[in-house]
Amino acid sequence: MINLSVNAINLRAPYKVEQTGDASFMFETKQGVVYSVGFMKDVSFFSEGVYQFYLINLSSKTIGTDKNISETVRVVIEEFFAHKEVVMLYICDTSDMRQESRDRLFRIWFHTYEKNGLYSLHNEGMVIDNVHYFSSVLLRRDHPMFIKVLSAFHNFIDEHNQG
Amino acid sequence: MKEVVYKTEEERLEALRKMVGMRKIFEARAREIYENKYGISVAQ
Repeated sequence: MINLSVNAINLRAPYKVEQTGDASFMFETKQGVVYSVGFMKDVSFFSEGVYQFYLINLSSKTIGTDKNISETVRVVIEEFFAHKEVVMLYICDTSDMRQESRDRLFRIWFHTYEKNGLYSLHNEGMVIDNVHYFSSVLLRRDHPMFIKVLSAFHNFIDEHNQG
Repeated sequence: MKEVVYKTEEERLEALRKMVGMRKIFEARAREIYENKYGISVAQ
């Protein structure tokens, strides 16, 4: 499992982040909303280095715009990508309207990452048990197995979609 | 580091189901950690 430095995150994150696992964290906003953010190892299409990304609001509260949340999450993601040989996988279940709205937010973030030229973003859609999902992978352009990872990702989903 | 190869479509489908279901595992762990730490239940 990848190990991320909470100290490095807290040097730059606007909200104080607490480490709850090797690659998982919690933080509380000024409005008292608690978020869990982190990565879980995923070996669905590649044997090593792929991690699913999560951001979960653990509170029942809904809040307005708080730029410090996205800034804190951005710092966590950048700490993740301090490791060159990692791949971030994000899955969105479109049956849930909140997920869909969250997905739009992530797509904006991820496109911003892609625009800066350091990262490459790839998307696939799929239907599993009658539910439509979007999946995205984000990885550094200098990932040593860039082509192999992307090929594995697209093969995994395309072969299902064609089946 | 290598591509994971599935011999059958059933195996692939199971892997996809697992992949899209991981969020619930992460969320359950996060709620457990929070509740153990603060001794309060977080509304689902």
